[in-house]
Amino acid sequence: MSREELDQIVCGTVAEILGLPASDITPEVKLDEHDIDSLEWAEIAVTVEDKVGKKIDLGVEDFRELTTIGDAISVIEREMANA
Amino acid sequence: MTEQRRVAITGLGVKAPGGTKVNELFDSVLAGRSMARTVPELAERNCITQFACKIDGFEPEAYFTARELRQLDFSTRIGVAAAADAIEDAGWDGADSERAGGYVGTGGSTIAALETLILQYADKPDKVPIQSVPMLMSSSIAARMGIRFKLRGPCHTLATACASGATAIGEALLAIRRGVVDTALAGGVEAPITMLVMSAFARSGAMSQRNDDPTGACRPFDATRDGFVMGEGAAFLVLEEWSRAEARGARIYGELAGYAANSDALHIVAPDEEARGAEACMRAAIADAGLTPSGIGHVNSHGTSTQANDRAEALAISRVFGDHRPPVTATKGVTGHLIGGAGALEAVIATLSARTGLIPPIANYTSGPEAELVDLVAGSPRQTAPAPVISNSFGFGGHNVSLVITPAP
Repeated sequence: MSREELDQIVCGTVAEILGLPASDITPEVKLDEHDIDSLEWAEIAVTVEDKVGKKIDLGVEDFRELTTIGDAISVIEREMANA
Repeated sequence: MTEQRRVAITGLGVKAPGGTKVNELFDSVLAGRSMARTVPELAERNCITQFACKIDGFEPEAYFTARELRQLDFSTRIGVAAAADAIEDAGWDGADSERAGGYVGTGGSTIAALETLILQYADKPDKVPIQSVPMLMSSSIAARMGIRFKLRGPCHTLATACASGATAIGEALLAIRRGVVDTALAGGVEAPITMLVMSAFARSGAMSQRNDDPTGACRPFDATRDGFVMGEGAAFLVLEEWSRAEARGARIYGELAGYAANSDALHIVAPDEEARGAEACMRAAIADAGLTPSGIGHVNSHGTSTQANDRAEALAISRVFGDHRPPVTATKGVTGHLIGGAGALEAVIATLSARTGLIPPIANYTSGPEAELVDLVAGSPRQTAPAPVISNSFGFGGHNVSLVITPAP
């Protein structure tokens, strides 16, 4: 899976969980704009897991101290590579 | 002994059959026409009872973002929305939020969400939604209210089956009197119109099965009544310590003046045929309000439209009031029975009746043996002078609750 494909899947999932139009979430969007909580990060992880068909064993701790959605996608990408 | 703290009713909010605004609801109740109708999903599944009283015209998007809606079941949506309306109506400024609390009555607000979860995920437990626990915990609505309205005092959930809403309001009264809080958001909520919950009540024999005549089904105190009619909805009141409400110039609807609760300690569903507990409860609530039975203007009865409840309640009322015979209404004829929300919805109606002196008629009542015991209001509203109202709520398990609401001076 290309990074562009993963970007699309994760951004779409984040938009879904936050109840926003898909176009509102791009890799450049800052995380502190949305204050995603622990349950929502867990939802994002399991939803992406279902969509890509790979185990993504991540929780809120793995997404701390990141700046953008793109940073979070990179964390997911590394997890998928290790899975 | 210092003088007892008094409790002002300063805000009302409803999401109920007959109205998503308080004035709409009161108009519907005064019109005396049942809100019951066939529920297509129940009819398609050939349920025993295929009708209920549902809320019309509730727009959750007016209260919640799409992000919030994903996390809230229907009962929480209507509960929090009714509470938001009550706060707006009160013009409560949120001051002294550590002295503000929430008191939510419900028989089991999350049961519909639990039913859906089980039906969808019984064979795939590894896919159970992440948000399930906060959605299904029975304290969910009280917690959501506390977070949204910044109630930093106690936020409690109280369950006494069909009396839960009245219990929550009564316990909030006590909390204000005792100085635990100065402001309370108190009420009740239930959203029980699902295939399995409706079937369970129908099989217990307590619910009307008049599928060919939904609007004629709920007929409290009528000789031909055959059981209660289910309703969904929420009602909340803002209660404030009297001097605080006066000091901020709040509009005061009336005083929550009396509360009593007791238990039959007899049977898990049947009321005491002698209605001794109900009688004692009403007497205690009237005394708690500093009144005598002759000071009560009318009774907003529990009046479910089951044979056993209405018979026992009429007996209790007649014993308490003797020759005074205040008018008796039963507004479930219009709204259906909101279970844990019922006592709260009826407290809202009783507040408006105390203030206006307008007593709603009992929908579908024509005649019945209880008319020999009590003065039943039928046909059209009865105009009286503004006066104290007693509102009764009785729950499965023998829980009895009475509230007394007096018009503002």
